[in-house]
Amino acid sequence: MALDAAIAMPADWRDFLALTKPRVMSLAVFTALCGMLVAPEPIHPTLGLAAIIAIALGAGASGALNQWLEADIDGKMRRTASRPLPAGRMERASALHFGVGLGVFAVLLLGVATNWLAAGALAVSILYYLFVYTAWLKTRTPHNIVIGGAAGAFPPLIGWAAAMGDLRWGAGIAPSLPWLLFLLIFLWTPPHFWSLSLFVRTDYANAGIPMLPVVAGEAVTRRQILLYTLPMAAAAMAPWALGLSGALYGAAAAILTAAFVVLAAQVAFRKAETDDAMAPEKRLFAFSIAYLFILFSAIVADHMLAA
Amino acid sequence: MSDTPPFDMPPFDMDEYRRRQAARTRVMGLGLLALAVLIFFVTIAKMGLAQP
Repeated sequence: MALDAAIAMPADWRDFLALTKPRVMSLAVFTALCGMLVAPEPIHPTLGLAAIIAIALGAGASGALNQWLEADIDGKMRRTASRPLPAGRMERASALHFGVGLGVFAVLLLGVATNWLAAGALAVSILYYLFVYTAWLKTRTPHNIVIGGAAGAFPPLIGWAAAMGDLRWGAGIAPSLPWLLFLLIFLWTPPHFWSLSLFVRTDYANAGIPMLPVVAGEAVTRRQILLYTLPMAAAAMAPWALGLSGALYGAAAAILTAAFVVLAAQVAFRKAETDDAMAPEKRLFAFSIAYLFILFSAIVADHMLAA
Repeated sequence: MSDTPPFDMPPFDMDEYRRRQAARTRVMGLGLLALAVLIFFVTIAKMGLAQP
């Protein structure tokens, strides 16, 4: 056998890093850190650091296993065609082994460093993202991102659980702070992803993914963006309204959420044929990322000022 | 059937192969070292918390 056929070029380590979706990971790590920092009982700094590393590795495992499952779909979309698997820079088995190994290690590390409730929540979030969102919903229903969005909402719960060792709901119908943060990300996800899917609609259509603009059209998607923004706004104001945060967070949430609603309304009421290269949709998408970062920073700052 | 590769197949780059293997080994080594240090400090922290 020729040498060329016997040896396959190993993937570069940067490709393994790309497999973990570092940008998505950064949002998960940040919201988990915020969940940890707003917990009433402070966590030991070393254990907190270990927990954050474990959550980052868990998020990376989710990204790797997602790319392993979706290699064929990624190859059909311009936005994802250059990822290591569709570009042919890595074998699929390598991505699977890397993702499973990273995920198992992340859960064990979190369990050993903090507690098994947090580790269990991390395991559930990885499995939910992989099986419920990626394998089941994403290619079957335009509501994929509504139900599947829960996967991205887990990190503040995991951060809180790592510090507190419990995830109690709250009193009556009023959720506790970690569940409110979960709800906020859960309701933020549809307007965030639908604004993206409006300007990469062709990509999703080519790949056969039934995102809302592909299945129901632009007009319905625009209305749904605004409709989901309203309960998201309520969830954003709830920590202040329920007395779980102070005036600093209340003011930040009011200003930022008002801006979000205005941007969502611009997307909802605009004429589809306007030739502006989807500027309002891109603006809303970019703002939605900053919105979550600033809002979570505000709740941490508010908590630290009150302490 | 001949064992010789088709004419349009690029020659196997053994230097690149070795470079990638060495880089992966270095990254893996650093990761394991960081892990060992982390586990050490986690153990110290947990022992400290366990003391009354």
